[in-house]
Amino acid sequence: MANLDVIVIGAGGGGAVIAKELGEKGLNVLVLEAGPWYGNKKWPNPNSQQGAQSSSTSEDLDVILYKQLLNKFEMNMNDLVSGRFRWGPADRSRSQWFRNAKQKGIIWQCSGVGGTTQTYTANCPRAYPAAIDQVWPLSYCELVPYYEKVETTLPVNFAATTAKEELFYYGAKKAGWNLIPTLDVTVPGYRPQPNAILPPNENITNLNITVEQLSWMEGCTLAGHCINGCPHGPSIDKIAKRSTNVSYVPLALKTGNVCIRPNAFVIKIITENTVSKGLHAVGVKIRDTWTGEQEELRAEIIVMASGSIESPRLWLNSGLPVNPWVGRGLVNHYMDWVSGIFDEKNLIQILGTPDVNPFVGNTCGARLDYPGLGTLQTVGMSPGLTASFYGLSESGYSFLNKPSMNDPWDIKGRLSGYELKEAMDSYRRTLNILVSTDDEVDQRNGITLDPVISDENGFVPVVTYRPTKKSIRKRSELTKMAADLLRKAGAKKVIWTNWPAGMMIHLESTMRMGFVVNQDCESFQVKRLYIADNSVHYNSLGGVNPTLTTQALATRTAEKVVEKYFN
Amino acid sequence: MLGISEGERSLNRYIRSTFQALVHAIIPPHYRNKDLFGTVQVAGAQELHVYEYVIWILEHSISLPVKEQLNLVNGSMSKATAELLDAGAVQLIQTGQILYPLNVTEFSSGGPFTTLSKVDRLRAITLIERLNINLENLSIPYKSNPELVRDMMDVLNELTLFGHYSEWTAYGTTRLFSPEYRRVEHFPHGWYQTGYPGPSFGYRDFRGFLATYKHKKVDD
Repeated sequence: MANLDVIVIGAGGGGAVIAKELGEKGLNVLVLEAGPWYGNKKWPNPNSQQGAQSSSTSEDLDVILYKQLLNKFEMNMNDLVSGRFRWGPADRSRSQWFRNAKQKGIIWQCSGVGGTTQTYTANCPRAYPAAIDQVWPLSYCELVPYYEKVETTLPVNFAATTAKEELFYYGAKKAGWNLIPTLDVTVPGYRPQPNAILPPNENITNLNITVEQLSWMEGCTLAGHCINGCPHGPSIDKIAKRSTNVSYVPLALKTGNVCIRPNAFVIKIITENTVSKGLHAVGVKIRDTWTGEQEELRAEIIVMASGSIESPRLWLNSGLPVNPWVGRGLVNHYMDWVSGIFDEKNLIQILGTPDVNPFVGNTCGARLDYPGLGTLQTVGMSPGLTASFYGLSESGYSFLNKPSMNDPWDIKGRLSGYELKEAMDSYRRTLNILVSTDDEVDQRNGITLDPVISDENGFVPVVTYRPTKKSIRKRSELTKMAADLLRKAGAKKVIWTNWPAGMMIHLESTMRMGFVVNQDCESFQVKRLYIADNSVHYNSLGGVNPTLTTQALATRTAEKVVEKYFN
Repeated sequence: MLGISEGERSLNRYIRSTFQALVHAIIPPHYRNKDLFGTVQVAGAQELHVYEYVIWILEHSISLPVKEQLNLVNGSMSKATAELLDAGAVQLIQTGQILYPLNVTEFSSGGPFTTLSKVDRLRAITLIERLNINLENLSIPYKSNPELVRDMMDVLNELTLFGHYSEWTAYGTTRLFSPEYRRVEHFPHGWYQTGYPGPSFGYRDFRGFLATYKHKKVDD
């Protein structure tokens, strides 16, 4: 492509947004994505054949192909090593891309058009105002118009209620919390999840229309496959869960100014140093993940949107100027996992049904917010994923960690043997709560390059996270709140898994605003180099899910790019 | 089998037995009440060949060039991991911590880990997890690598649980193929055991909205 205005690195939660915004402003944009593109006619077999080079029209989008590929089987889709949603090359006969995580835990990120939003649960809360005001270089008020624009575009709505949400609300109310039906959370309370999932079709309870017919209509079918990949809707741009590959990408393509090239791993930022412009980005070097061929591409502006691990890795592998905050300050919401198992009799009294059925409805449909501490969110997943979350624990096997009389849980630690079988036999009567902590930025945490090990894309990243004492205290309080809520809801057994600190699901703050980028998200040290992903967050937003804030910032950054360089 | 030496066959038997013993300890078969008059036996992870999944992942998770840099070319992750489990077992035995007698006949060609009772296998894993073993004597990549050693004890559990309760067991004769060539041959055991109905087009359990809000009009 000649005369590119902007190259965006990554077509995930942030990259797709800034590409659409810039395309709408008339700029010529190329998006480079390391992974595959599911649901595009130009890649009919995206995991086994190279396919075309790029696509720039929404005419290429193919919902039938999309539904074939997103087949809702949890291992096929979610296996971190070989699933369709993994951090790795499109070719599934090859290994994933290596990360050196020197601690217990998982890194849950996906390559591919849509990035990790392909598998995310589409939770779209705004940051807590108290986590932004007088803390960030920006005020909350400055962010609100951009939140509103993203909320309208995706769109964001409060989640529909199914059994698991009703049970959560029941427990929250019994535990003394108030309903806070707001987007701007300033006091603790429970509320439906603001999420980027289309509300259920008005015929959801109309028995004259089959659920298969519903799956071809507009609106969520409550099928519960958010994490496995939502394929339900009449066309790609009307798929119920609003991953960016079905929301912002179709809109970007419709501008006629955006071209997306999957299977292209950016391995270097190219810079020049001139008297008039200083050190500035002029292009990128890419590697085709199928052929290994390398190529240089140039543009006026480069936007890194490759996530909180790859953006600093790319900076470091490119030999860009030293900055003590590049890669540093990682937060991950120091997550934890608390589960309640219920009796049929209690459930019938509360819900009118004998089961919770965690596989029904929006995966994370309800939440409790506590500014200053963090959040609790319901999570209902397919059984393999549910079981695997019981297997990760800082304290080891539960049978060797019997809780004391005063503990609010009956089981603590990793499940195995009889306790595991009992929990999984009760799968349909289980309510899981994800604890997401307002964790503290610590410069010791973050991304560095492995000094020895490299792969085809450069030295591999080393990922490190240790919670601070304050973060540990906050998580402990939240975990007890979760156990209390479950108990008040009538849980007969409460399980605290005690997750390790390395659960990398929400990664933020590795290229922080005010340290690596300015408040317009342009790098301090390399002009014309912007960042539009979670890494620019100043902090962990108070513990809320990061995607909406990244998308609001990406919308704002697009304005700033045009104001500064294209007016 | 042509092309495979006796040494390799023996190694494969050793690795298989070790991972059989592992998954057997994590998810043993059990009995579940069927009705007032009887119980039904529910298969454990060993019967469902989940150890093959664990081995497959260990062998396929790291690309060859990275393996070379880890000096893993002539070894394998599953072999090194089996030896790691043995190191924990030896420590448990030598320090007199086993609760039940050793059984050398349950898993053929297995190492010390396979001779332990189920609960002692999990206690051996706990010793490893707490780094109560000599890390200097381990094989690459675990040698002097406490972070990886600790992480792997979680990974082995997580993989066993995901393999057992996902659709992997239903890939049947295609389960060890490259993922693009696997086919689901029957309803997965783990899904049946948990009452999960499998992939769905939708459910009717719509109970309304607790709250709604109107979008503000945004000027584009």
